[in-house]
Amino acid sequence: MRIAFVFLVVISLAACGREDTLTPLSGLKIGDTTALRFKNIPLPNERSSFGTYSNSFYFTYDHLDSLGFYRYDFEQDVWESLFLPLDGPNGIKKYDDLVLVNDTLVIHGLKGLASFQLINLKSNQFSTFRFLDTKMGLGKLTSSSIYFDGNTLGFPMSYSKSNKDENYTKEVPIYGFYDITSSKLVSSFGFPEEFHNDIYSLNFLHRDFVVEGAVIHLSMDKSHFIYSYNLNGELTRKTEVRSSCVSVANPGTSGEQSRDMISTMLGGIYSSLLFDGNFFYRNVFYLPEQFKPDDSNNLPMFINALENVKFKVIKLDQNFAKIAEGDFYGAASKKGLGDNLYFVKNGVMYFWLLNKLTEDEEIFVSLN
Amino acid sequence: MKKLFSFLFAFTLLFTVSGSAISQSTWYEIEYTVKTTSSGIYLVTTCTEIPGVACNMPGSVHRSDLGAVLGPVFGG
Repeated sequence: MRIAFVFLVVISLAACGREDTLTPLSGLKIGDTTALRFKNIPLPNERSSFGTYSNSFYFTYDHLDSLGFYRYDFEQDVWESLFLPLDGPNGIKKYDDLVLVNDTLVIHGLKGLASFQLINLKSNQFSTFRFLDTKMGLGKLTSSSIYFDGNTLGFPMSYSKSNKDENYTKEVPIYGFYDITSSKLVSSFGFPEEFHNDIYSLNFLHRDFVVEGAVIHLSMDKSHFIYSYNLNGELTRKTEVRSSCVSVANPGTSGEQSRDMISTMLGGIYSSLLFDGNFFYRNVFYLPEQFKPDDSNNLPMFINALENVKFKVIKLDQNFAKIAEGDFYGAASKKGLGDNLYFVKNGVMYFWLLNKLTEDEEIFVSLN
Repeated sequence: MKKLFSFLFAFTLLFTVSGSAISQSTWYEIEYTVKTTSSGIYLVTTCTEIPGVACNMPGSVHRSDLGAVLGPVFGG
């Protein structure tokens, strides 16, 4: 079975680099450069949430007794900061994902407590909302994953059920709509049908949501499709946006999480779906065939091989038609690009340039 | 009366101990991901809400010291 899986991955990735499109695409090149200077504030780390909203970039930083919220306004060219206490009546209780819902409101997850908070940053008003089903919680939040019309709040969800259960992908909700007036989850949707009849590792089931008006777009790390849902949680559209650098063959679960991560990533992943208001960007993270480690179970060899990882950006119009794409290195040792930080400035998407010149600065580039 | 208090005290103690044992039996799965940053590549472990055997603080995130992971490679 394992040999068959490796064979499938090799065959499907042999074509990586020859893109499957009949229309010639323009090659994306690095355009404008913007530096973010952090001066006297901390730099985002692995525990930080970050996002982009209304011509600004923001992130959180876990201080010992509070969560720092730092926001950089591109027009004003200034950093604003505020600190949300951990304890007390207006305490955030846990360091968890926190992203802006609108200009003043943030949503903050409380993983393991079946609840979340809405915090008004101007009035410092805290509201806590609970799920009736205590197995429910917020999923991984990104700044583009939240829907809010003043009453209904849409967000990624998680559900406490073993992914080794054969009904996991049939039963768990992945995105929900919550009525904040009645404090009730009103609807939700789960994994796409293609994922219903097998057992997958958690890495294989990674996903990304982008809200565009009243439409929720879902991009799975391991699906060639982008799925679009309406506010009732109904699938309204399924659009193929394929890269030959990604294999969606399921390697199953090994029982060891590091091995699951490696087997998922060796086949390439759609690492994110981003939207700058005009264009979508479907990003691919993959290892070229010649750099794959001989032993796919060896974590140090895998991490070492990642120095040669590639980051592919597929630029799409609002109908998800490919209009351009570019192949870049994806590691700092090769001064590559990444999507672990990004922002939208003046309606243009900026990707993280993995080339650190000074300790208190990060550089971002647009692609055109 | 003294016996009743002793019994109540023992019962309360037993209840508290067994209660904490029950809450500690909720374990969660740990998930590995890789982050590419301008400072290098990091292995990040996240405690999910999925029941498992690896951690007991859902939502906690840790960055692994890659020096320890890569030591065997560079150290020979």
